[in-house]
Amino acid sequence: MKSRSQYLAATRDTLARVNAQAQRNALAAEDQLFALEDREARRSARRTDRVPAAVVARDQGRL
Amino acid sequence: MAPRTIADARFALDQAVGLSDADRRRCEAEITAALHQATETATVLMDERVHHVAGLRESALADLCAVRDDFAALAAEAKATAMTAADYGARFNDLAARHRHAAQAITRTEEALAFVEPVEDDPAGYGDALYAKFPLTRPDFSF
Repeated sequence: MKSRSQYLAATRDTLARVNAQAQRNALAAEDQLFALEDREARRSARRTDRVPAAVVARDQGRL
Repeated sequence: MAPRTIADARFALDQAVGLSDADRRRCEAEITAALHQATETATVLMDERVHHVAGLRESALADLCAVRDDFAALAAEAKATAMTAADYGARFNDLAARHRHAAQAITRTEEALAFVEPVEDDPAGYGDALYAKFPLTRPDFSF
């Protein structure tokens, strides 16, 4: 009976199963990071857009 | 006394002619003793690998479970709070580093399995291969 090999294979499989779950959660967490970065980039872009609009309004004598 | 590999000793005994039954039995006993010693050597080396994996198994499993749960918790926290991408990214990178470290246990276990599996199939053969590789370790035979 190959008890050592069986033990090692079972250990590898157990660790690999949890690792696969961790990898799935890591991918989901990475997606969340991209979503946060996107959201901040869009906010920043909106703020940047406002400045020219204000400048235009001032130039047009509306401010 | 001649240091030989077990395969050499077996070959020499098979080629020997004119041996009495008693002499042949004595030679066979020497080969059997050498096989036991080779098996014992292989067993010690296999057990070292298994012991190493057994030592890291529990902590690696706990680390991987913690990392798995922490990734999920981090993503959930980001959805529920106003966390900045920079803060989130720093915590994500920390978790990713912990994940890489914990996952090394899988590689170590696979390496141990790659060693143990063939040796467990033929421990005496592995021990004799060591005798072939390291001549000073070869057992002495009277023939």
